[in-house]
Amino acid sequence: MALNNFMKGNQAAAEAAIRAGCRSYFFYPLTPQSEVGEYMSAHMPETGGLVLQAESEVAAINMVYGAASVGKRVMTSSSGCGVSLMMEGLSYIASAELPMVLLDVMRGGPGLGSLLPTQADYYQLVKGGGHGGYRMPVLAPGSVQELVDHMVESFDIAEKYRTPVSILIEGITGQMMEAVEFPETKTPPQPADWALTGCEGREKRTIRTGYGPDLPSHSEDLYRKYDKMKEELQRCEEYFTEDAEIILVGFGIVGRICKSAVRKAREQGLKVGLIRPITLWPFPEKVFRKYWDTDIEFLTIEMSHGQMYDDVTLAVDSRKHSHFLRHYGGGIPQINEIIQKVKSIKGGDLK
Amino acid sequence: MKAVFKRPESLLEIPFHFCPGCGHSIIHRLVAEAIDTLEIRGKTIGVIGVGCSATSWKYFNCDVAAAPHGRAASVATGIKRNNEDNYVFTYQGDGDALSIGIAETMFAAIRGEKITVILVNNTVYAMTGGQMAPTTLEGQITCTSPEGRDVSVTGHPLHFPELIANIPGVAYSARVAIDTIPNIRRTKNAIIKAFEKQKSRAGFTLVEILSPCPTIWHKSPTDAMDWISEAVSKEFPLGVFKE
Repeated sequence: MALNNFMKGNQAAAEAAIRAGCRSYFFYPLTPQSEVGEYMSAHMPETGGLVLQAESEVAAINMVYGAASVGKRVMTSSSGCGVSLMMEGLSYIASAELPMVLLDVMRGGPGLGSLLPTQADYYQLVKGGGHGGYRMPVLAPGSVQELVDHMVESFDIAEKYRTPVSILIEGITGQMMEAVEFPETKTPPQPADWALTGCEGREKRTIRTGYGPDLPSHSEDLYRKYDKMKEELQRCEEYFTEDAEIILVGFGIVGRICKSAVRKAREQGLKVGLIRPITLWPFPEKVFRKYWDTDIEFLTIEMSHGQMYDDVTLAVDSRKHSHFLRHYGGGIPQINEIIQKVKSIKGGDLK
Repeated sequence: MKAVFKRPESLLEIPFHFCPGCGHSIIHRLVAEAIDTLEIRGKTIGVIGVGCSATSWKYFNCDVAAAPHGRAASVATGIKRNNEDNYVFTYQGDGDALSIGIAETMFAAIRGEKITVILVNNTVYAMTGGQMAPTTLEGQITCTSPEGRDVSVTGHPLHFPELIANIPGVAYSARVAIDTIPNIRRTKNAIIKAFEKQKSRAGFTLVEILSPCPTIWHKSPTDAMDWISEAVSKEFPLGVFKE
């Protein structure tokens, strides 16, 4: 491990990607993630890697498609309105089964929105966004260190399953400075045996997403892969859940705030725990199953009108025990507010 | 016995799906012959667009990536920038490269991407049933210009090779046609020229090819060829605009 570095989330993510062997990065500037492109522009050339500022997010994601086709470790980054423009390309990349990483640093929306904190792009990445019913792993780090760790791991996941992988963080995590440790730099892997390199000495290879009567069999292959990822990738952090009567559910920066709320609630004698989903897709539904036949109440807290709340409610298998505390774009849940909600649930106020 | 005519190695022995008289069959062969002539098949990566040529990944006997509609120049950029020793060409229609993909095509030219864009101009969206394209002639009847294209409403036909000719990153920009035997030979030579410019890393290269669409034009294959000579090439003059 390298020495501690004190860095902004966006810069740390870029450094982590380079260390993970990413050698191709395409982007279009957009607040609050422009530091990723700035850091890459300054440091990627030192590795002999490629940085290219595209004319739009549409172009950037398709440059990613090209770079992934030739077997490079490749990533892009953007934020809500830019990710909207990438949705077409992401659907194609998912269908073509190309590995790549997207860092999505959320800004307030809809429309141009603002730079205030939000988690309202959960649906966009987790439920598809693009057309055709593809799925892709979505990781939700809650600190700059976890962002670094996820960044490195996401390239391995992408290559293992031949899939796009996205990392979803709030603008807060992108802008916040924290001490981080980076792993040693990896040597980028050789292009895989499906990559386009020119057919010298072998049969031609094709990367495509267009199908005729063979579409059902392609879809079946994809769905089988999605089932496998659903089985193998679910991940969450459980915090004081052993004896909890009320379990908070929050991802990303909210999960972090919830940890403080759990500690404070316990000081007041309230048996509160936390499940912090780390993979948003696949949603860590397995962990909720052990609570199916209990009276434990779940309180989802999100900086949106309620998006992950849907998945939590499905996972607890009962709307009766699923409660919600919402914060629209611009507001950060306060610890006391969470505790007040916990008390009201305990007091029988179910909504 | 010496073979004087055979299927190019860069074209697989798979029957084309194109309509009778379609220009794509000829142009596929010319691209393949150019690749064979330069002996670069093993180093070539094609990027195909969406439209009538969306399934052309089947026919070319080289590595091929199929891009989203209009995005071929961006996909080609991602390929070429990473593998500078490969020859990278896109194969796109006029709707693909010049309407939905004009930003991607134009910026590839502005950046001077060392790729070759093969732009097949048949003046219509053929695959979707014959709608008006940016290249539809003034007065030309299509499904979405049933009274003929009114340029006061939809603008004039787009002359892209001329448009990019003064961009410094463009190394070769030409318009050719396949309406006559001499023009077919010139088309092949233009494609070879573009690949050679790519080899010398001179910059962005584009070959626009005027091509017949008998089905949508409601003409016989021979009448469609004649219509290129009589009308289409009057609107779109043949020539080399940058070299």
